[in-house]
Amino acid sequence: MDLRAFVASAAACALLVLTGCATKPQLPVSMNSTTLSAKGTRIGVAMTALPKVDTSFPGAGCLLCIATASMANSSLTAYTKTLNHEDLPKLKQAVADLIRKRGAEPVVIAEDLKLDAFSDRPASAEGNFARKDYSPMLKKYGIDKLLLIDIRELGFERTYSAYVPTSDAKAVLRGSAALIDLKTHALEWYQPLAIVRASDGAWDEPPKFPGLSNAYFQVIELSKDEVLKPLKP
Amino acid sequence: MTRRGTLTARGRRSRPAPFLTTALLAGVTGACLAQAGVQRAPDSPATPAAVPARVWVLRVPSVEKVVFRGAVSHDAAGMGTGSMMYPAPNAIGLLAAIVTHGLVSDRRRQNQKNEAQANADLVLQPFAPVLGSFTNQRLFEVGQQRLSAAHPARLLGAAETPGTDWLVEAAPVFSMTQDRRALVLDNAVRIFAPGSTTVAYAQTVRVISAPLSLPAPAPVAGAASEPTQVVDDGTVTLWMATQGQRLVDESAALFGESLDIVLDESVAPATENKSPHQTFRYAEGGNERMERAQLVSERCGRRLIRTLRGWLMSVPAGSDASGEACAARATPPSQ
Repeated sequence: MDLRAFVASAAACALLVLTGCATKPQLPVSMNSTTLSAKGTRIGVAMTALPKVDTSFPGAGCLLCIATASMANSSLTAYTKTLNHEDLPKLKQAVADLIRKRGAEPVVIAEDLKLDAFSDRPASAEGNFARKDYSPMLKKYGIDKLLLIDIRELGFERTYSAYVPTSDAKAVLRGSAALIDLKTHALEWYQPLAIVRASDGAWDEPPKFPGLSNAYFQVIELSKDEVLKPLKP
Repeated sequence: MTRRGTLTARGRRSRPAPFLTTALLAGVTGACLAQAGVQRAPDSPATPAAVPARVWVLRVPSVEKVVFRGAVSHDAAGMGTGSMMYPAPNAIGLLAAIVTHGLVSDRRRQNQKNEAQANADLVLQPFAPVLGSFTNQRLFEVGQQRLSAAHPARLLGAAETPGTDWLVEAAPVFSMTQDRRALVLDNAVRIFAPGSTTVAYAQTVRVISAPLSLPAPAPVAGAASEPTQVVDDGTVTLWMATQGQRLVDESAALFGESLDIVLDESVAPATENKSPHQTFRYAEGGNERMERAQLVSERCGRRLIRTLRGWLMSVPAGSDASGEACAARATPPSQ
């Protein structure tokens, strides 16, 4: 193989690697003021299972790096396991109460939604559409729209560059909240949740980590605000 | 005062014999009441014995100027997750490379924090004429006048001895919010029994002022074309009125409140308060802040809470955080 062909192949491979798996991130979609006020509209309110409160060390890429980061933060990880979800499980009910105040009819879906159980939808180049096909919910619960809260990460995060920490540990909550029209799959509201709070003052205070614990409860409150505020009359 | 009969554990150890006897009596009485499930009324005497009123002496710090800084957030601090290829000719070389990487990273993170603090401190620029001459001597003098009548106090120079009085050392640090609508005082206070060099009681208290009420914003001609110009939204004018007297008065008021809180706590710790931990919301300037804490007391539009660190915080409570609300409550309606 001559050099030109080799370079072209390498460039093609690089392009495939860089773009092949890339998914365009869903941008926020603001809620129309009339979305929740349509009388007779039945809106299902569901959540995915809340994640285990845990620590994460992004950037500690190699196996030895992960082991080093885990050992260095073992007391924080042990403490993290004692934290609860506070009142996040009640978020569905709070959402339903606000929907009722706005005029629509809420249907609280008690079961934790498993997103993997829904088939993927083909990516749409234009517009804001759900990436999963939630239409089976339409018949199962007799609802027109689905308000889905998906919290994927909750706990503490400390970034690393290989073996070396590059930040203090911080409380973090990541996920999204969305309102999906089950007939058209259109996203009528999409709110990414990416809340990070640092400890006020020192963070490394074992065994109870009061500064980080305070930040943890702050991210829970802030995430509730981000979900509930757009729904308020 | 009736509540002076109750002492902290540390206070008991360091007090002279008459105080010790009284304290033991108070401790035994309190323990008996607790076991019986009886709560002592706040104003009921802790012991039948009369306890001499404490006189406090406030030692003015040797640091001349009052410490002010801009409130800073480190939520976005950190340097990401860049990968690192270590030169590793052997195990020792790898170890040396990792140690070097760690030292450099630490240094950069510290520099980042210092830079964030320096940027936050820019909020104080308009107040430089006042803060440049605002000494701890003046703060303590005005703050002493703001202490409640229950805490008679006199000032003490940095090198003077307190004699037979209880010594109070304080290290106040003020922060101004970035919207310049509130002051936050962090005050680390230590109390020494007469003649003792051992700390009898130590507490850190944070006091957050009620947010400044701003006048309706007036249109500023040319403001849009000069984005880098510092535009006074009214806060600087309010703080700097009459040569910055408001800034000094508010600082002294926070300082006096912080001392009142600590002195009260030192003689009557709110250990009976077993309220559950909850997340309290309060105004810090124009922003809403939160703190996980236990409620200690609530009055006069303010809330005293105990944080997870065990510190005390006095925060504005809701929309009635004004002096008017306090005055209204202090004056009960005629029967």
